[in-house]
Amino acid sequence: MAKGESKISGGPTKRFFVSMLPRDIALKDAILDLVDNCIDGATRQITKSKLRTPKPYDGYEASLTIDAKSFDISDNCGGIPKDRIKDAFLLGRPKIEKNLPTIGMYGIGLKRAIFKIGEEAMVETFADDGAFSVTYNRDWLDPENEDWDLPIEPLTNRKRKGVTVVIPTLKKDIARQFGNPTFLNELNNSISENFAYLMQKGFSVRVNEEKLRARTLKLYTTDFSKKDGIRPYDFESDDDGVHVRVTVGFFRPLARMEDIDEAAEYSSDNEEAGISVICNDRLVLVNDRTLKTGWGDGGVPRYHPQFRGIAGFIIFSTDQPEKLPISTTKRDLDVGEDVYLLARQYCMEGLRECVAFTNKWKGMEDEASKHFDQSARKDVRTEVRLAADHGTPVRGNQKARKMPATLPVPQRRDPMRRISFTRKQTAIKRVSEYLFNESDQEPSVVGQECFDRTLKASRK
Amino acid sequence: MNAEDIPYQLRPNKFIDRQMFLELLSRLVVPRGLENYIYVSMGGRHLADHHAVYNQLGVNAQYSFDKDENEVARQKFNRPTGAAICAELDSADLPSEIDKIFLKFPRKKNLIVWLDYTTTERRKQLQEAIQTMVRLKHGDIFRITLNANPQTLCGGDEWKKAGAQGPGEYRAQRLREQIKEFLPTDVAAISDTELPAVLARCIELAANEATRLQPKLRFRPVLLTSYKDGSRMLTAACVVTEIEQIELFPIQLFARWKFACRRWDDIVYISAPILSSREQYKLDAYVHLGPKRMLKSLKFLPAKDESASLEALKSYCSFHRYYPTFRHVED
Repeated sequence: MAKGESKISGGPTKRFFVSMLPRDIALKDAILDLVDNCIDGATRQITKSKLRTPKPYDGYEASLTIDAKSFDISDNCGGIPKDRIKDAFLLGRPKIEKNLPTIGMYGIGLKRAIFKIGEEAMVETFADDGAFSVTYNRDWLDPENEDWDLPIEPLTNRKRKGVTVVIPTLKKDIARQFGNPTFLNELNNSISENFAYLMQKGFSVRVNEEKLRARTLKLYTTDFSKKDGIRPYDFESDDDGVHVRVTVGFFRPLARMEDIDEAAEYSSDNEEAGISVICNDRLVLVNDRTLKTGWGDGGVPRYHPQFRGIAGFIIFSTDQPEKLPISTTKRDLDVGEDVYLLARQYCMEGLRECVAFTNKWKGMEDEASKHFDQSARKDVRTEVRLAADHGTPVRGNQKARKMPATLPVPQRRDPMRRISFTRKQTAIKRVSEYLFNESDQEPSVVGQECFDRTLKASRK
Repeated sequence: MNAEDIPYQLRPNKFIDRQMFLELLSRLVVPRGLENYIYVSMGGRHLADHHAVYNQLGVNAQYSFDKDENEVARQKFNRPTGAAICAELDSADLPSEIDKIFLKFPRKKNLIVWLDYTTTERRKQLQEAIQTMVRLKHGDIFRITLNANPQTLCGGDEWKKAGAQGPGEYRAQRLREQIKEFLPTDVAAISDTELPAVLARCIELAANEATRLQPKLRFRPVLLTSYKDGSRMLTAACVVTEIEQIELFPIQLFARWKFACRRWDDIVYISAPILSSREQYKLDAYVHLGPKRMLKSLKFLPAKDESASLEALKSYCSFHRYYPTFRHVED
């Protein structure tokens, strides 16, 4: 710094954006960001009144072609209008877009994905008022190159309006992943989960020509006209411009003791149990079983395979995306946000009710199954409206309603109790041989037979 | 024997604690209208608190709970009025029950909630307290009792086997294992007498957590007491206010109450001497003259030495108004 100079540069470096920033995001999430952008485009095309209909996204689609050589994604979601082109290619949005139910706020997703995936890229946009192509060449993507200007070319417009991102040359490690069918399978699963609620509203996603199917939450729900049965906990509120919905219930019957033991031994991350968080129809947190959603806090026990049947979601919907409790990667939560804390509180109420149900029926899972058999799994978002239609008021929150879970209680005149003990394997085999003439019966069957025979003898 | 089964004649400190709580309620609740309140507490099998709150304050909207079916049946038998609701409920379910309680008493606006714990599941208890506190509103009163018996953290010479420097350090270690998130980090040792004060700080942190979860809410301590009839207990009561409410709660005059606390470390230690009726009548004639004059009037020491006797009589003076007067007729 020259003597007497009173300023130093506080600006960004190219290296930070093209080399450092992409490290903060997983490849799969970077691709989900690109799909997100397609959906934002579609949302801008749809009128507010149409957005409230069941299938506002009908006809809109994103199509991805991924292989070990190249990547491209194209949509028919309206393209980038002329007056938005300049802001669209800035690194970071100068202002947050109002009145749009999105989760994109920072204006970094498209660029970060390009930096993550490719050595070079081309973005083509076809909007009603013009068509352009913007190129990220190798020179521009060089971290040492501090030239920030991007070449932009006019294109001949076409009928199908939308954006296409073409990445003709992949980074080496990315090419390896794109060439791996397991990665592509995982990506398809993630898209099916993350955008399930938008697919349910008509949006369509294809990966290498395969049309992906929505995977939404279905919980056991008996018709409200029936007095008893199984129904999930449901809560809804409007808080400071954000609509919150919390639903917690059972997506499968109670886990039997054998399943629980097995699950405890071979734990799996792919379990469907847990709470998912959805912001403006995008899945932000999948099947969480941690403190984030209230497990292990305030009377709710930590997750255990006994609770394998419990699932639910917290849904936030708003036209003011800055009020959503999400981090910049869009795939994680900002758990300190007031609106999230409120939702978590009610999620814990639902969890507590479901956990208590599993405790009450412990050891009587087969009997509990009868109640599940009389109920049916229903899509929660579209088919269940318990709090909205039948909910009771919530103290101090006039815009909230809640409906406790309906869960059967076992007869208690002669309650069931679980007997559990361990014996040496050789001893169990010997008793098994004695009782069944075969030594390899399940230990639980051997124990049960011992008890039943003794009970019978005691009654003589 | 369960503490619940010990009659009040043998638990003068607990009795005094309860009388102080009733006076606290009368000072807090009367200016806001008793008819607005619902009293919620575990109650015990005889619902002694509920009777006292009904008889002395007139609060008839009452709710008690217990997870044992038979206890609840007994509570129903003993309830002060038919309007009182006795529910079979685990304390962990109370927070989500609060909305339902208001549906049962639709005209009521506020709650007095007392979580009267006796066991040492401290983490669960403080978590339940937070979940209850976040559901409270302006004008509510929250009270919690925790087991503050130091023996529950270190019995005998356990601390030696654990390699601790002393029992105090071992108690702090044990408590940290139980409630790391609620125990202030500067607590390195807990002496024989310090557990109530440490637990009061833990409750303060729990109240702060409730404020973090519900930023509009504030919890201000109003009465902290500790007594020992068998096990030492700590009881903390606080009022709930909301930042946007202009109503001052409690009213300014409340601060002039002798036992009103100003901070979370302002604990009243209740230690009433056990006196016969004759001793009590004699002392009552001198109570306005102070402990020294009272001791002189007795011509014997009511405790092991003069210093302990003066301390006991000082305590008697402090809690004179609340001192139990029930006696066997032949005393």
